[in-house]
Amino acid sequence: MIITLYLMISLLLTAIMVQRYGDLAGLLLGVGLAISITSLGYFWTLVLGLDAPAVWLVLANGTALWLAHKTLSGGATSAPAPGIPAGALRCRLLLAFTIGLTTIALLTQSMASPHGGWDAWAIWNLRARFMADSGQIDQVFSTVYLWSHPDYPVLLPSLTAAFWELSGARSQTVPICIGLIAPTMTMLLIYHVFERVGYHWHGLVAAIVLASNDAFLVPLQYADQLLGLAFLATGAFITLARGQHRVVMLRAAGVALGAAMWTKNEGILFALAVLATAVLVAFVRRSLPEMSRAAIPVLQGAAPFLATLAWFKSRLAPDNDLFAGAGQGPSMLDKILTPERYELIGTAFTNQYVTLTPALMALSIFALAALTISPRRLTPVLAPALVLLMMHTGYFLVYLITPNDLEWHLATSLDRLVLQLWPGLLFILMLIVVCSADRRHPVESNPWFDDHKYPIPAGKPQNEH
Amino acid sequence: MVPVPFAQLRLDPADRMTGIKLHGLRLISAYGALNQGITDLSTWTPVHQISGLTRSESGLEFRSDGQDPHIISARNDNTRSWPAYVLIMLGAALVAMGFVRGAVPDRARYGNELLIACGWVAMAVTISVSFVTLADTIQLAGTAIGRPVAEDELSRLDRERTYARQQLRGRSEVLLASRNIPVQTFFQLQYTLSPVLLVPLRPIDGVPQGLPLAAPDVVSEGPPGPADAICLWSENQSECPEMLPGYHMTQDLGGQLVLMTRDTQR
Repeated sequence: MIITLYLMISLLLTAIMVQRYGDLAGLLLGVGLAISITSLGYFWTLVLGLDAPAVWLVLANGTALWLAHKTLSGGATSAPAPGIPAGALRCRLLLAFTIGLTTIALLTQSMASPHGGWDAWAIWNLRARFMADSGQIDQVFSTVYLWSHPDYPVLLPSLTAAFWELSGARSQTVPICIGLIAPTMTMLLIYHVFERVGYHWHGLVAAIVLASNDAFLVPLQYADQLLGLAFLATGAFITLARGQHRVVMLRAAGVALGAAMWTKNEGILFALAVLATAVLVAFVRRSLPEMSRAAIPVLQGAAPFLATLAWFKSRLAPDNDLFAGAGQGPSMLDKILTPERYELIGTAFTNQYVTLTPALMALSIFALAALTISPRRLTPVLAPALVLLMMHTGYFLVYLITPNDLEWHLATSLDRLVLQLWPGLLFILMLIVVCSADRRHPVESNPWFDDHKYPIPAGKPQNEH
Repeated sequence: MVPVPFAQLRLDPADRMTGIKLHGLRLISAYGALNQGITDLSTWTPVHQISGLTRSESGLEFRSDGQDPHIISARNDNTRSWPAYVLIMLGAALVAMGFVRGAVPDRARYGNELLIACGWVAMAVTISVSFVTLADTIQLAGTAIGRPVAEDELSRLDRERTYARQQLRGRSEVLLASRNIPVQTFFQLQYTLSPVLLVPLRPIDGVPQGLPLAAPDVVSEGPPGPADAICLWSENQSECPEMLPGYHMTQDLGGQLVLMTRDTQR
């Protein structure tokens, strides 16, 4: 009963977003908002020891619905929602077909392995069980089971536990269904961002290539897939932050950035990389005031996550095992000065990308072709590419100083890190292709990618269709 | 344990094996050191579902379980079902439509003929591979449709330990008296008994450096003291009551694990 009410409220919330921002953007915003409210809301009901968390979740989502209705619906100033771009209908049908098949594949595989991959039951679903049934917040993040990384942020476990509360049962169907969110939404998002700038076929190809990754088609129930979605969403919403919906898209980017931090510790590294890139871009272009103005809505979107994360890290989370074990074994300096470690990590990264998929090869060749013709037109790609580079550097450094056995650490985690970066990498490669292909230079400004000479394309010229 | 060279057991990817059946072997390193010898492959196991491996079978290694290791049989399915063909045709159609509609950049926009030609070839390969990957996944999933899905080990353990969870309700911690309990068994035990916290009395076997599995302040040489519930990992269950006077066996948890609770408790 209560889950029906919750789902109806979430659907209405999404409907309002669809009405205001268009179908795909509205769907993505509505679902993202509901996930964020539910995860944060459940965590705080647990921290505050509130009875009947399901009721509180319904109230929280109901409040969001009321606020959205009050601020977004109607009004003379509201802009009409973008419709389906010309020629995009066939792409959407093909996308729906591909997503449908992917979903069927994931669901049928889940029947054989309902508890998901190793990390799913050893970390994420385990934490969800503690959150839902323990009743003692200290026990949920106890140092006794440091092996399960209780210092990790809890977007995914909170979401799972919240739906267990809402449904009134501890069914494994809940994590299975939540595990479908990341693959389907990621495909939808990467398609949407290119459709929005007039390149729906590119978006479709990107979505299909995204699904060509073997790891993407395994129902792992890992937080890494959600994190990959959050990384992509941050970049995508900043890309779309133009024109009338600029502020809303920047807030959405902030929500995605916050969700990334609330999903895994790597999300904090991502936030730092985004911040460093923004400062660097502002410094190089001497546009600090403009960047500061653009940062305000991003911070507004990320604020609930930032506040929750700060409280979680300062009051509940034990030390991360990477730093807790820093005193063991060789000193950090010894590790940094050991050439063999660089070689081992570099080889592991290379192997991971070489075996990942041949998809990168095609897009890389197109990107190379683009560079030979007009490198300056790729200005919009530099900032997201810099973020991606910083992420790789950050991961490399973590491996360099890890107190764990390096080979074991690489073998058990690198594939997941690459899975996190996979959607963002595809997005950047396809953005290079799109930016190079577009010869028009509309003057709408974009908060961080562009200047007035080299903005991202606003749409393909009609005569090219 | 006798290590078995991986080469002896390599399955030819060209055969598109969908399952393997092995005898006397345990998987040891498919998922790194954490997987120390517990995954029993004595039943049909889809290749791609072995501890998250992809179908390339990279890193698949086994060790002997004291018996002569050999592959009993390998299920080979070289035929694709209709959804697979639909997907591959869709991929081909998409390449064709992309050519017509300009889904990928063309020479007019770039001007570099050689690179663009290479890009076209690579893109065609990419999209074909994408759809074959999807098709194979559908195919693998499709083989399970219409047949009862075999319950996986973790689901079985989770179901069988329902009674133990009920018995432990209200307790916050359970001591774990282990004698070299494999790490996967320990992790599965924690998962299936959650939200009760398992406190290991001894370090867990095979734990990689850096993972503090046993809290130092509870590692004890003597009797467990005030604990009112203890999990024992023992090859000989009959000796458990003698090892822990004052406790009785509440449930056989499977996998050589026994849950003992104090006689004075409920």
